[in-house]
Amino acid sequence: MNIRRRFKPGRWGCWTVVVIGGLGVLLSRGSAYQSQIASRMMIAACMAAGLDLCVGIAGQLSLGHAVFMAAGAYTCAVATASGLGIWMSLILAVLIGAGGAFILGYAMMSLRGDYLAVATLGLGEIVRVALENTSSLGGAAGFYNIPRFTTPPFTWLLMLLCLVCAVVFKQSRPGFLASAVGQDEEASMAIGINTRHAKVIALMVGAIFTALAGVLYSGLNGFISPRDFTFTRSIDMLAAVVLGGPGTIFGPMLAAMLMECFFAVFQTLSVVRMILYSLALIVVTIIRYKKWRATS
Amino acid sequence: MQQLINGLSIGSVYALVALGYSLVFGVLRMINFAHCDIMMLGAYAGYFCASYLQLGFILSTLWAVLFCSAVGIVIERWAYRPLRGIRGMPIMVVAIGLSLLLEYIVMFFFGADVRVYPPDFLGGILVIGGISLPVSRLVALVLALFLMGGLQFILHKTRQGRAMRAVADDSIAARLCGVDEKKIISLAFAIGSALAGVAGVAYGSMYLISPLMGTTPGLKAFAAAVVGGIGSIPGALLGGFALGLVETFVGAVWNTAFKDMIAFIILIVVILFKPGGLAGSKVGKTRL
Amino acid sequence: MKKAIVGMALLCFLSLTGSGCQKKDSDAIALGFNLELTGKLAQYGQNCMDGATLAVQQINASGGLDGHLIQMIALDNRSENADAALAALKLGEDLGVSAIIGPTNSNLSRSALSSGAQIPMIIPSATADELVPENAVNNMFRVCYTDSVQGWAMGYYAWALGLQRAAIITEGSSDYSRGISEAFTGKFCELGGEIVEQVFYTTGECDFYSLLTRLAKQDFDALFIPGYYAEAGLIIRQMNELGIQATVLSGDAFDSPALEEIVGRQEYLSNIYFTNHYAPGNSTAQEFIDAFTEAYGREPSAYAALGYDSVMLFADAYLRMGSGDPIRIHNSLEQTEDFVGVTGLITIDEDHNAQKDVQLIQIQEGRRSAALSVHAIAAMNSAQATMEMQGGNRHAATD
Repeated sequence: MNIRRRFKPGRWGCWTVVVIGGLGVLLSRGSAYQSQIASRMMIAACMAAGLDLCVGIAGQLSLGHAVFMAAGAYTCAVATASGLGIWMSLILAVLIGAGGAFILGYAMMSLRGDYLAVATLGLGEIVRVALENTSSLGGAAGFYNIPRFTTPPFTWLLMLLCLVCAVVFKQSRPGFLASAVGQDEEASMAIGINTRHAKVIALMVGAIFTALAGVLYSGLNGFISPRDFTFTRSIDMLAAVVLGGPGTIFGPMLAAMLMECFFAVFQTLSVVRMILYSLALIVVTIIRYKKWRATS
Repeated sequence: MQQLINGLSIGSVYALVALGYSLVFGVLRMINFAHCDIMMLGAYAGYFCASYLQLGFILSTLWAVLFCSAVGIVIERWAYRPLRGIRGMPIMVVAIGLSLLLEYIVMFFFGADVRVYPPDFLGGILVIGGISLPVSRLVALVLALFLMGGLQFILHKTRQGRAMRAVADDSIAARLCGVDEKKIISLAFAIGSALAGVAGVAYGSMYLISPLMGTTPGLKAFAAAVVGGIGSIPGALLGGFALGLVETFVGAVWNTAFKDMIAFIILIVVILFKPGGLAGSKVGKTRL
Repeated sequence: MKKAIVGMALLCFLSLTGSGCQKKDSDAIALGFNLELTGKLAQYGQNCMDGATLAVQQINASGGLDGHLIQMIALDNRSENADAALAALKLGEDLGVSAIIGPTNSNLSRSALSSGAQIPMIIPSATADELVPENAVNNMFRVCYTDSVQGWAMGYYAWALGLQRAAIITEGSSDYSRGISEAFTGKFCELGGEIVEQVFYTTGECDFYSLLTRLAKQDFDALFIPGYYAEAGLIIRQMNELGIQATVLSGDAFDSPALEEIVGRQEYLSNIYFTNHYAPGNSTAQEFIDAFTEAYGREPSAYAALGYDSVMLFADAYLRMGSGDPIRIHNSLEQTEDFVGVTGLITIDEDHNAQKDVQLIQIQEGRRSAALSVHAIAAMNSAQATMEMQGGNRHAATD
C-alpha cells in the first residue's frame, strides 16, 4: 500500500539510532562518567520518542511531559522501596504512566494548540509543587536510596524497545489515525475519525515511553527530587523533537542524544552554553519551518 | 482590608503584563512566551537608569519603555514574522528559545544575583487608617488603570487602533480595506512590550529583579489574561486584579503552600470550561 | 537528509569519546569544583567560586603546596541534580582530581554523592542532615554545620533572649528551610516556647504581604525566617512596611552584603539575629574579609567564606599527608582537628561533619556584631545533644 510506505520511518535513521546507542554502550565500558552519559543519552532518546508521538505525530503540543517522567520515576522509587523488585516496578510505572495519560488525555484533548500547551505547562507546575509538599514522597528533599539498576546495556535494550514500538505504532492503524489528526484536525473530523480517541491513544503510548525513561532515570543515581522534573526538562524534550524533525521518531531520538553530548562536553562554559542552546533552537526552527512553508 | 489592597497591588502588575499578552494574542493569535522576559528587560533597563545614571522615576520608566518597544519590534521582525501563518508549535518553540536567550544574555552581563532598585526610587509608605500602602504599589495601581484607559482610547479612538482591532477580528478583510498588516503587527508588539516595560519597572521598584524573575509572574499574568478573556483589554485588567485577589485570599485564609498553584488551577479550569473568560472574549472562544 | 544524519551521528560519536576539555597539568595539584554557576542557584555557586578562587590565588602566590601549584578545574552543574552527578564523575574519574569542592546546595550534593564517584567531596555549605546515601562509602566532608545544629542553636538562643511566642515562615520548596524549621520548633518547644503559626512560601516569591497580614492577626514576639537572603530581606522590608513588630531570627543563608540593599532602610535592620559561619571581629575572618573586598570590590557572603575554607581545608589535608592521591586526602581529611578556618575552628567528626561553633550574629541599626558563640560538645550531631553556652553578651543582646 502506498500510504503505508509513506509512514515508514527512514531505515537509515533508525539504524543510526541503534548503532550510535550501541557504540555508546561499548565505548563507555571503562569509565563511570562515560557510562552515565551513555545511559543519559538513551534515556533522553526514549523521552524524545515519547514526546514525538504526541507532538510530532498527533500534533498536540504538550509542555508538561515531565509529568509522565516524574510519574514513572516516583512509582519506581516507591515500588522498590516497598520491596517490589525492578521488573515489577517497571511494569507498575508504565501502567501508571499510561493511566495518567488516559485521564489527562480525555480531560485535556478538547483543547487546541496554544491553550493545550499552556494547560499542560500549568499542569507540570502543579504537579511539581504538589510533589514538593508531599513529605511521604520525600518532599523537596527528594527520594533516595533507590537501587541503581540503570546500566548502559539495559538502557540500550529499552531504547531499542521504544524505537521498535514507536515505529510499529506509527505504521499501525491508531498511529495512522493520529497522523491524520496531526496534519489536519478538522479534515479528520470531517471524514469521521474520532479525533479524541486517536489523540489519547498517541498520548498514552508516548507516555509509556516517557514513564519508562523516568524509571531508568531514577535508577541512574538512585536519587530523584521534584527539581528533576521541572519545566526545563519538558523544554529539553521539546527541543529534541523540534530540532530532530517532529514525526520521524529517529530524528528526535538522535537529536536528544546529541543534546546530551553537547551539554556534557560544554559543561565548563556555563552561561555561554545556554545562550548557544537557545540560539540554536531559534535559528534551527526558523530555518526548518521557513523552508517548509516555502514548499507547502 | 489590608489583604484587599495587597491583592489589588499585585494584581496591577499581573494586569499590566496581561495587557501585553492580550494585545499580541488578539492581533497575532499567538502567545508570546518571551513577553515575561521583556518585562524582565524593562526591569533591568529601569534599574540601570536608576542606579548607574541616577535618573528619576519618570525618566527611567520612559527609557525602559523605549528599550522594550525596540526589543519587541526586533523580535517580531526577525523571530516571529518568518513563521507567520504556521500553526502553533514552531512559533511556540521559537518563543521559548527567545525567552531562554534573553534570560541568559542578561545573566551573562549582570550575573545571576538579585538586584534592588535604589530605595528612594519610589520610596515612602502611606498609612491610612491602619492600612499600609507603599508608594510604589500605589503607583503601580494607578499606572495600570491609567494605561488601560490609554490603551482603550488608542484602540477605539485612533486610526491605528481601529486598524489593530480590524486585524484582530479578521486579518484578510482588514488587508482588503487597505490596512498595512505588517505595520500594525509591529505596532501591537511595540505597545505590548512597552506595557511590559512599565510592568517591569513597577515590579522592580516593589520587589527585586533577577534574570529569571519573569517566568512565574509571566505565567500568572498569562493565566490572568485568559481568565479575563484573552484578546480583550478590559478582560486583561479584570483578570489581573481577579487573580491577584484570589491569590492573596487563598494565602490569607487557606493553605499558603497553594498560593502559587492556584493560578495554574484556575487557568486550567477556565480553559476547559469557559475559554472566553470573564469578559466573554470572542477571540478566546474561537480558539476552541 | 542522509548527510545530516551521518553528520549528527559523527558528532555524537566524537563528543562521547573526546569528552573533557581540560587536561590535568602533571606537576600541578588538580582541585575539582562542582558548582552551580548557572541556573537558579547560580548566585550561591558563583559566590563560593569567588571565595575559593581567592584561596587558590593566595596559595599559589606563596609558592603553592609543597612547591606544587593548585590547578582549578571547575564544572558547572547548571543547578541540576543530574548534572551534579555527572560533574562529580567527570572530575573524579576522567580528570583525576585530588578532591572535589561543591556542590553548595543539599539536593545537588546528595546527587553528587549518589553518583558513585570515589573521591573526597568537600561540601562547603549544604547543611541538610543527611546527604550520603545508605550503604555507601562516606566521601563527604562538610565544612559547615548541619541544619539540626543551627536550628537547635537558634531555638535555644531565642529562649535565652526571652522570646516566648514565635511564628515561622518556611520556604516550602527547600528542604534546608524545612529542616531548620523542624529543628528550631523542636528545641524551642522543648524549652517552653510556643509556635504560633507556620506559613510557607515558594522559592522566588516576592510578595509576602498576604502572608504577613495573615500572621499579623496573631500575637508573637519572634519571627523565624530560615530562608535565603533574597526572600528574607524582602520579608523584613515588607514586615516593617506593614508595621509588624517582632524580633527576626534566621539561619545561615540569611547573610549577604546584598541584604542591606534588599531591606532598603537602615532602621528596619534592627533586632535581627541569625546563625552564621563567621563572626565579625574575629581576626582571621577580618583578614579574609579585607582580602576579598580588595580582590572583588565587595564584601564576602557566608558562601564565599565557606568556599575559601573548603580550599584551605584541602590544603591543610594535603600538607599533612604530603600527597595528592584521593585516598590519602580522604584519610587526611578524616583526621582534621582544630583546623583554623575563617569560619571557625573545625574538627571533622566520625560522620565527616564539621564540629564547630555556631556563631550567632545580631544586627542592630544596620550594624552587625557577634552576639554569642554556641559551642557544641562531641555528641552535637546525634539525636540527643545538649549544648553548653560559652560566654557571650547575653544581657547586652536582650535589648
